[in-house]
Amino acid sequence: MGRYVLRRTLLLVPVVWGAVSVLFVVFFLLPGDPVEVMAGGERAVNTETRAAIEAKYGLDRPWYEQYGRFWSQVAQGDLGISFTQGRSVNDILGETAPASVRLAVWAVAVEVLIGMAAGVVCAVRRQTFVDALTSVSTTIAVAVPVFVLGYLLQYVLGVYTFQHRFPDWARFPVQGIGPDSWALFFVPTGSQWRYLILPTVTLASVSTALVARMTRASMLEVMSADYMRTATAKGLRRRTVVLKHGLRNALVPVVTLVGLDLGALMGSAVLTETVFNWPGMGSAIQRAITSLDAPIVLGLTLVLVAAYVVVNLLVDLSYAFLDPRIRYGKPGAR
Amino acid sequence: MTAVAEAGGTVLAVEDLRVHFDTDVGVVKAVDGVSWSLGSGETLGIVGESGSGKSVAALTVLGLVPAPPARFPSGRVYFDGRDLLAAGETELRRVRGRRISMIFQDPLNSLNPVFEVGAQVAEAIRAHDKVGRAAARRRAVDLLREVGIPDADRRSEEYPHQLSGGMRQRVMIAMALALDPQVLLADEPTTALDVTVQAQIMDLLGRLRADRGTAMVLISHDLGLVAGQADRVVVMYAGRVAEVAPVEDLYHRPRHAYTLGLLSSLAHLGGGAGHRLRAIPGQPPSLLAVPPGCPFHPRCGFATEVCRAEAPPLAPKEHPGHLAACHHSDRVAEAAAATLEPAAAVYRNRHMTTAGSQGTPPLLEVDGLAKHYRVRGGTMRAVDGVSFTVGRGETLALVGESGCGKSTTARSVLRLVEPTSGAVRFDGENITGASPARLRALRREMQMVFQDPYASLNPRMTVRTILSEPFRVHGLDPDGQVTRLLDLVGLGSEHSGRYPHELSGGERQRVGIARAVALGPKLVVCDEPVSALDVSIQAQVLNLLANLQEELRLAYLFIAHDLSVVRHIAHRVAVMYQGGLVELADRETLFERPAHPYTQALLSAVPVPDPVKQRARPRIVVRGDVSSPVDPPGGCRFRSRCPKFATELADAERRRCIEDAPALVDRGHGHPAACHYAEVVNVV
Amino acid sequence: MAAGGRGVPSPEMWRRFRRNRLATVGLAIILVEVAAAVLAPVITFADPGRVDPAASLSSPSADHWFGTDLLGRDLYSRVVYGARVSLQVGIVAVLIALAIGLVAGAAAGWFGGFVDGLVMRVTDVFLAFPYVLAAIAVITAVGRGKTAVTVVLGLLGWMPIARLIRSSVLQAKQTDYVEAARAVGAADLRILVGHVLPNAVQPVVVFAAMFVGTAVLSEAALSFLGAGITEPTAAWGLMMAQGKDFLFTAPHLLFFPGAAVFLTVMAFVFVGDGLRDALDPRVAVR
Repeated sequence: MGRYVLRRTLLLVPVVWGAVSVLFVVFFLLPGDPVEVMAGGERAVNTETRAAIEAKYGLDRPWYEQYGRFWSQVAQGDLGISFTQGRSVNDILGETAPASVRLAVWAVAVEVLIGMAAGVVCAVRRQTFVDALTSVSTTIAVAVPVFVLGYLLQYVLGVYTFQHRFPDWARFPVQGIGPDSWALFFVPTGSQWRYLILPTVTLASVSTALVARMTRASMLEVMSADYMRTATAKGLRRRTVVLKHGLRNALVPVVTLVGLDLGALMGSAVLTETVFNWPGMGSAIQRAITSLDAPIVLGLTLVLVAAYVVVNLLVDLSYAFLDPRIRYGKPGAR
Repeated sequence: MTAVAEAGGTVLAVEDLRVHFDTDVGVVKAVDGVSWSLGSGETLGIVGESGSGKSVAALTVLGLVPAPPARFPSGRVYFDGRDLLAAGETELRRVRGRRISMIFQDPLNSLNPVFEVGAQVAEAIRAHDKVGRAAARRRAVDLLREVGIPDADRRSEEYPHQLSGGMRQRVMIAMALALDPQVLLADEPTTALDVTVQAQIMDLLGRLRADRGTAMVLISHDLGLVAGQADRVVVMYAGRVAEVAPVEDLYHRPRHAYTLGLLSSLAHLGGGAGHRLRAIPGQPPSLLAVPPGCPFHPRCGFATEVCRAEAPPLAPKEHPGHLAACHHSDRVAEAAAATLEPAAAVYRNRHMTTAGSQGTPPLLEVDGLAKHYRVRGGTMRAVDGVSFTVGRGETLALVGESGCGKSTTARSVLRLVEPTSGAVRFDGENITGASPARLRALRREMQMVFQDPYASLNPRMTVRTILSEPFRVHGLDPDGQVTRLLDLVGLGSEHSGRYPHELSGGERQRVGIARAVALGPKLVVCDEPVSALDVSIQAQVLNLLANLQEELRLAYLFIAHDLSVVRHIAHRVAVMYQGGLVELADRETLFERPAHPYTQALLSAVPVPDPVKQRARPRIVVRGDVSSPVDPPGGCRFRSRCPKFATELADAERRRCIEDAPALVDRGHGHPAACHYAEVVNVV
Repeated sequence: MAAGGRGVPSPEMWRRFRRNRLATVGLAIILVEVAAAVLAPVITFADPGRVDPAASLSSPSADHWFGTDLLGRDLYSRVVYGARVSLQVGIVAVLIALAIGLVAGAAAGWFGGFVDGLVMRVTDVFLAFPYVLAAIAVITAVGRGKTAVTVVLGLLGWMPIARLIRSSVLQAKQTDYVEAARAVGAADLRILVGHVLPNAVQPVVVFAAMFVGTAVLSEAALSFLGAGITEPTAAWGLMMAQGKDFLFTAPHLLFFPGAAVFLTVMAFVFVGDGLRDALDPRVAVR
């Protein structure tokens, strides 16, 4: 068990080194003049500015020195200076991260709870109306682009209900985070939930559909396993058979999916936050793209990549709890 | 012993049961009008080939067949004054595990991989008895001890994958018998296990059931196993009951043509050797389209017009309790008297001359062959210094239990795996050092037939492509060859356009054999070529191999775990244990005068399909499971399981076994055996 | 005969594919879109770039079937021309990913050892980047435009293909039929091309079909965020970005390009599902 944790964690070293290096190569070595980008536009830069920028970022130094400098910054947690705002990217991160984390946590909660519940129900009630309905709606949800869904929800529950004088409960605010009032960091208080619900649904839609499908497929596979028959033959209740013996075994692929899907969720978050004008890292990145503020994009991306890698390490480690065959290091068990 | 059934002591009865599955391609009539009953304390054997419906009927008893897709157009399952088929889920749940319990074929997949085995046994107790968690756990540990799990306290906290196959099946038995049920349904309980472990498990089941008075339904494809265990036997074919009889009647006086066919198609230990088996032609029908009339008539030598028109009823025959669904019971009876009663001595020795011509150099010489793998924690000695020869036109069988290294040996001989050391000489040429080009050329001379005929055929190639490939590879013209090969192995040219998944198991194996003999090899390595096939198909394939050997003068290196098959086909037999040969002799000597304790135990554990002989045989039981081939200790590798080492030898004698690995030499028995204290015992 | 088994289309596969009705629908949508993209100048009535300030933000009408945008450009023309961009980017990106993934995966699976370790570590590094996020970052660094988007989406998408191919090759390498081919005397190249790859390619074909949808979606997302296709090219995502301020007054600006993206992505998902059924000869056909 300890060996497993150690081995998995050590495997991260080359990944992190490689990922940071790739970003370095992309931003500093690829064609596409970094000076132009840093100077904030795709226009001619005068020689003085160029020299100033090159000196400031050490671009006049050989690449290995730049690389070392880049690494020492990363290691110190220094994400650089925004070009257009002149502020530290760390500050921008501090301002925008809470809103993003709140939205993401709620979306993942929806994804896991609703997705898994729907998957289990469909697997148990296979080929019934519920199953067919879920199958159709998950297929659609996977194909609807997040920004299309966001605007659709805004139009139906914000614009349409507003224009046609629907009761208040059916009208939702479509822009911004609202009062920004939370208890225990995550729990919306007052009317905050009305601002939270549409972005959450939008962000969670694709992932929830994927989790539902994966849970259903995984449960169906598990339910035809011999040990499920054994459990029934023992005289256990159906609920015990399905939830204790079935779900526990069906969990590994679902957890894997939730971890890997977090990457897609981050991409979707940029879109969702843009659509709803949610003041998080996503909309900061979007604004930085339009103003060609590379340090913000680079810095925030680095943070998200780190979060993604760490979460997937946790997912890997969770296998050890879910499956004793991995815990006891049986080669080839998975 | 059958009196109980008649005495009104019936505990469980299935009546006119039909189980049909609605599928995309039609209705599969898995069980179609089946009745049987089980007396209290009795053992009822249900035999049949795959797809005969033998398991489905038993699963239906406990409501374990998912419906839909299953339907039950008719039938009752009487138990304890109730009809379980009509019972609700709650009522069924009270019966499951408490009154009737079940054990399954594959003990690895039948236990939940993510829970400790002790917890799984305790769960069975707590499903019915109101006991606390700790108390249930203590009872579970006691049960595990009772089923012979050493160090039960500690092992109850292990997970299924940490136990051996035999141990896992013991856990299943502990779980099934935890609440002293009246009936135990055992569905192929030992099929996934090695034969020596099978003997242990059946012994254990017998002992536990005797203590508890549990009745058992033993479902198996193995006629030998059922002969030794059952009081009465049901033979199923195509979802129906063909014959029911007390065990001795069934084996000695069958009254259904299918039963007779099965018994005479069996290769078995005590049977005659060297002759062709009487295979049942054709294959079992698809349950989507069971032939009208008697379902067996297309394959039956006795069939007449009435068999095609009318399904025979299951009618009583001369002995009490003997029923058969056959229009021609009388003629079957005559035929049975002629073939089964006089021991197969007629055939014996007819084919006995060792086909290998004496005096000429052997075709294949294997000398000190070894294959070691580096694994976590040491070196696995899969094959550890094996030497033997195969003569031209001769069959050498290499037998042993799973993991003994026989398949690795076979692959090393063909250099499909690179041996670690040792020499393989083919036709005088040392091929261990042959260049890749030379090796490819040599492949024309030496070929292989694989165990799983499905996996060994590329699913994306037609039979024609598969059979042309050997010719194309060697730059030959495959024109006309495919038809010749198909004809050679008893298939028609209509098969050439088909894909493997469109063929039956037997047909696939024929294609595999055709590919092996395509280029006219001198040696064919057969790796368990019939073990994935049904009994009636096994006989067909074994006969085909024997015919080809005669026609093409092939030598076979025949890998097998089934000694009955080996006795039928081999000229000489080598027994392998943990990477080394323990005994090497010609067939008759090995089967009648085995000298190594392992060979004796192995032979003793193979059941003979004759209830009288089987029950009268001496038993030599080995303990435990095969130990790990990773860095084995010195001395004799078999000593940890050796009955002789455990019970007969004095301490001073044992020291020799511990310190000194016995060589494979003749110690005055006329053939070599790797045991310091080898001694001939007849166990067949 | 043999063709059907080698991954080349056969009547039997077509029958299997058609049994999946949604797949047939998806294929129809794709065919219509391809036709529209090719025939764009023929089936539209206005130049997609023609500005008409007088007609700014008009609703759908007989003149402008899908209405017009802020600059008065005909939305119908722009959506039809947008199909060209989306399909080009999607398909070329997938071809790039396939080329890299096939070579890397086959090399890793077939040679094993050091090659395998190297390829898999590189794969891990690339997989550490969330797809859309990585595309945003790279495009911010190297500049926008159709070529950049296509290449970046391809270069960032090969890893799943490499993994699929590698595991299929590893699996196929261990099958009895590959051992049988070796026992018959077949050379390595013959085994790889004749036995291993045909059996390994199937999951990749399915993945590639679905991945076209993902690439189309990603291009739209990038363009929407301003990190993709730039004016004056008509691209669906860009059109939506320009329409987002008029949700109250001119929702058609979001509706039509949104629907186009949705239908395209869904069509490729359906076709992927259908291919899965069609390519597995073990699935029985009635």
